[in-house]
Amino acid sequence: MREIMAGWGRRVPGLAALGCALALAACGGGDDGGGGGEAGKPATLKVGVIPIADVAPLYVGIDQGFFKAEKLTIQPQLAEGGAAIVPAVVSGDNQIGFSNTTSLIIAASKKLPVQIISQGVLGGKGADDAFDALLVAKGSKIRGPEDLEGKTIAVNTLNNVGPLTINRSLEKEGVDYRSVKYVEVPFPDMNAALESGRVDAAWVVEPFFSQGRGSGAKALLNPFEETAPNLTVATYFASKQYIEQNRDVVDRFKRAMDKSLEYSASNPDAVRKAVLGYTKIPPKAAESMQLPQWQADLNEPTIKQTADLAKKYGFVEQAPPLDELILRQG
Amino acid sequence: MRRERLLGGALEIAVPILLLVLWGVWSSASDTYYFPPLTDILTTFRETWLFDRFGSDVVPSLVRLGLGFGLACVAGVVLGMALGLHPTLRRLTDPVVQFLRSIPPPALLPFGILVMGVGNSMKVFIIAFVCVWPVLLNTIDGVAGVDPTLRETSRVYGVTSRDRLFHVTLPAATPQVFAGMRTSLSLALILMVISEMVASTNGIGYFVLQSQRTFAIPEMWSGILLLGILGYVLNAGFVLIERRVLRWHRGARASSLS
Amino acid sequence: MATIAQRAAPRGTRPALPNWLAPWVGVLAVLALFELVSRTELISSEYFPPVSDMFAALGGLVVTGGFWTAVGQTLQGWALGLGIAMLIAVPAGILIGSGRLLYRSLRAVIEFLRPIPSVALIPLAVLVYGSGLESKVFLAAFAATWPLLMQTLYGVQDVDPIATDTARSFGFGRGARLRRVTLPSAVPYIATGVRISSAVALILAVTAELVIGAPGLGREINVARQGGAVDDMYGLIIATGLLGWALNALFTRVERRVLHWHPSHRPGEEVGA
Repeated sequence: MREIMAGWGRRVPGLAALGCALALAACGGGDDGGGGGEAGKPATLKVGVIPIADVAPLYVGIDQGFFKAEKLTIQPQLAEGGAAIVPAVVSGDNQIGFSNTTSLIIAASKKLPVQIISQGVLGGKGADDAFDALLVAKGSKIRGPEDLEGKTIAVNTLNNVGPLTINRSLEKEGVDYRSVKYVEVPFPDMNAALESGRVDAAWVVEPFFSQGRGSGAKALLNPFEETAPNLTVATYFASKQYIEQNRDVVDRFKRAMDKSLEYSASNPDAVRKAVLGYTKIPPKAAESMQLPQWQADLNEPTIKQTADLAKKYGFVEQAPPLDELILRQG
Repeated sequence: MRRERLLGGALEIAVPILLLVLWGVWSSASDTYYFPPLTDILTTFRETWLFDRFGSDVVPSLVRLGLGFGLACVAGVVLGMALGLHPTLRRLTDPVVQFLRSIPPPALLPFGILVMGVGNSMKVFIIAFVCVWPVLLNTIDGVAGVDPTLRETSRVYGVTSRDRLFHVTLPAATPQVFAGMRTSLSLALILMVISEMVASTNGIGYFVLQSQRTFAIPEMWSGILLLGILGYVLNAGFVLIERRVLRWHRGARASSLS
Repeated sequence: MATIAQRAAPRGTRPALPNWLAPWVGVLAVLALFELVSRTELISSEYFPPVSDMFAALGGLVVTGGFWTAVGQTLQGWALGLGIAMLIAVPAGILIGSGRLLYRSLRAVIEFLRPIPSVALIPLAVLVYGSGLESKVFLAAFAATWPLLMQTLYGVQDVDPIATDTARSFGFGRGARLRRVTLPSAVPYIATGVRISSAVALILAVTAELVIGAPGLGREINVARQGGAVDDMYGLIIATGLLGWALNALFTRVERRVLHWHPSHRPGEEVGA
């Protein structure tokens, strides 16, 4: 027994060495920096985005060379949502991020130093070009907005743009939005929850809108479009500190982004092709789904409206002043 | 001996307090948004959890935690005994167990919603599904690792299989089973939070995650603090139970640290 | 080498299934079950595709280079996270477990920090470490340290007092007692702990990739999810499960070699878990 015990004395350091070896062997893969440059100098920008159709212009702009023309190299960083993108931007790990306006309003109201630097994506003008919808399952007893009182609606994030626009739509129809129960379900799981009757209605965006319709679900209303035509749904933003130190780079990004947005608006085929590259949307869905709207202008009145509604519905205590929230040109 | 015990007790209280003070000092100096001063966090803690949201969030969370953990323990011990005693069964199920165990809990959520909906049963299912593995594996190891001399001696003495199971194997395996349960308990708290990541309308995890999303950072920290305290309390309670149950074992093994 | 157990068993009771076949039977049975569940629409096949579709999707992914890059990235995060956890937890566990005063000083701190879910720490991790490998490693290491620490503590505490007393009366000093009595007794616990921590580190690495977008299998799963590509998503989840299974099999083999002297691993006792 003594020999076995003694033999063991040699093995424990061996195990520790194995641990070290594992750690060392796996080291590697440096961290490529992103960062601003001096005026006119080439710069690399890490942009935090979500793998959805909304950010297609970024990729289209890369493909078309708009960013290269401004001497910018873009490195998109795919994340799951704003909860991971905002800290990344605040800490400087990502120079720029993509986030929906409501989240940014909430962040700014809590004194997070973020600023909108460029348009991101807009809603449609009406039901015909809407890419979001409030769906009810096939054969549902809910026929119109008035039937939604007291029901359960699935949204992808609570206290955010979904409930905000749904509340507004219900208000316009004279329905008491306070009676609605919101439950948080990620977009990919919404149609399943709707079909199995777990929720009474679900607010979806493409490609889940088409997917739901394919299963027989009906669109009750289109919250983005009901709230305002061409509602600014999401924008690109940066931290105030980064903007201060790299104003030139930010301006160049905005110029290139504006070109990408305008180009994407008039070249849907380029968009659909780009979407196939960075998302896993199946090709058939990418071909047929309703694309979001893009333009260079921020459509500020809708941002102001969003801020006011956020205060009205209790998502924020104080609506942040637009001059602080939006980076002004010139 | 008595002096050592007094010293131990004093240290047990003094060291955490010292660390808290250090945290307080460091955080009041920092001005990062995500690390607010400890005093802010404590104020928020008092306002939120004592006792404003206690009934509405803490209780439902703990109930789900208890159900999920309980389910995991029962399933883990029962299955673990079966697998520990029957090598063939173990070989049959081992790859499946290892495979299911490696699925990241957030990846289970879509399946959970699909099968169990958006209510409490889904959350309990997720908690139980992930917490069963440490108990299962430790039970298997504990049962299979019972000193064969012990087993064979009792067989030679004519002790029946059933008695052997309940009076020799199981007690010998209990320490390791409890080790597994302890691991599962802290896992259960983590899973409680993850299960409330979606389709939730109340709960501590829900509160922490919503605070994250709405950038309510002191609230988020107060939730994290509560999770730590709960974990500590739950674990202390579990240790008390464990000590009771394993009293005979401690006598035989006399842990140098009890 | 037949043990009493085998000799005592009545003749004719050979295991029903040959050893090498049993695992495959189990796997096939479960796969068949899930295939049926989906095909019969017990669970909607649109959202939970038949297992055959999932494997077909996985097959399609396996031939792409991007898939293996992602696997490598996940493994990198796992290895670093587990390695760091081992470097911290095992020495700390031995140290704390051997010193009564030290244990009592730190017990409250450990029990307080242990239950904090890594998920709740994600924004903090991203803030401090960014959205890449370092965040992933931090979260994986943080989560994996605790089970290993607790197992090591348990193992060190569970030593047979008669053995330590015997060693002491033989004139062994503290260090020698530790090396020759306490550690060997604790090793099975530590081994189980490493296996559990390995699983935890993998899960956290993939979770971090899923939520933060650090490169790896988890991010691929998220991209597939967001695009509504359900077959691919489940194919990738299967890949993650297979990875975990492979790593566990590896650790079990290593453990068997290293612990061949312990009762649970003696020949004739057939431990596969």
